[in-house]
Amino acid sequence: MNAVFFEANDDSITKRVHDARRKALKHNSAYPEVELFGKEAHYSDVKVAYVQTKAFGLFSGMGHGSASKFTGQWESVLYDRYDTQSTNYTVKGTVVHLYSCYCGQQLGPYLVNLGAKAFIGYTNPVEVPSSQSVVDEFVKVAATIDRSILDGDSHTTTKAKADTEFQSVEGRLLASAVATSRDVARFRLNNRSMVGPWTDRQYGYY
Amino acid sequence: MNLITERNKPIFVARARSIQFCNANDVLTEALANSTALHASAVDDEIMVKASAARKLPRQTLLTVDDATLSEVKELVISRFRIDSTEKFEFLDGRTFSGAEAANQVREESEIGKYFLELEKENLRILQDAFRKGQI
Repeated sequence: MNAVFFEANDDSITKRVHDARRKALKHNSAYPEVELFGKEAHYSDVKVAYVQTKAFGLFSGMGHGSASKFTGQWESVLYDRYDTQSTNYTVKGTVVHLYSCYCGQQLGPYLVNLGAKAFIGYTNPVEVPSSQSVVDEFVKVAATIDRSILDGDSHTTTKAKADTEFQSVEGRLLASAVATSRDVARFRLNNRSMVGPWTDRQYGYY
Repeated sequence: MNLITERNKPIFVARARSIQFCNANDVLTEALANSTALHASAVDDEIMVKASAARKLPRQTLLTVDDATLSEVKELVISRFRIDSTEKFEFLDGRTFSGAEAANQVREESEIGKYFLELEKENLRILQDAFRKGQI
């Protein structure tokens, strides 16, 4: 399965998460793998990538988000309910996984309704700790989800793997001298607001 | 973000594009960490955050935000930082509360306030659990 990794890195938040994701997602089974990072995390580059690949198997994005939109570098809109950049067609048949605040509220079900195979995202803020080593841990659940999708797992298997990874990350955070109790609370709340096909049929199926 | 340090001028101007929730959190934490009292008022597309008892900061902070995030940032200010109970706080819809009432009101009414409340509850659970296990 091919995959597009789309990651903004233009501010302190996205940069920390981008750096963490690059460590966590160093090895995956995507083929071909399209990397749209930094200034290439832009709607025009997504359109070019779509022409080249014909269709996206997995679209794994990281940037800022709200209930109805997801943005890339410099917060340029990629997907939104108004289809501002005429990019929404690129999600057809795709498993869309967005590491961003709030997109699970409206954008996710909307993209599934447009033809995305499934959506995985968050309905609340995705908090990012200040310590890079803690951020490195935070993103591991999302990385596990991406690997599971690329391995061809069903969504129930993906969720089971994500839960296992959550427990092991939580254990490390609780034992860590760097992570604070509030970091652990943030990690739990991030995970609690994660939605996907296992949550409701409005998030699709795979 | 840009820093303007002229006396009596806004000292902290965040780019509008960076005032999404998580960045606002970051920006405000950085700017107002040493504040013990806050007053905020919204004027058009700007929010003025005055750290009236700030120890390290000059008198006021100006955050330039886009319209969609204005109320969100304001809610964040109230819910995230201690507010002097005697200060008046005017909500975007015109209601006025004292600082302590405003904080409670936001916690009860706003999505972001509920989020922070839940975060603090979870934090407390973690600390209580660690205490029970003799870890702290």
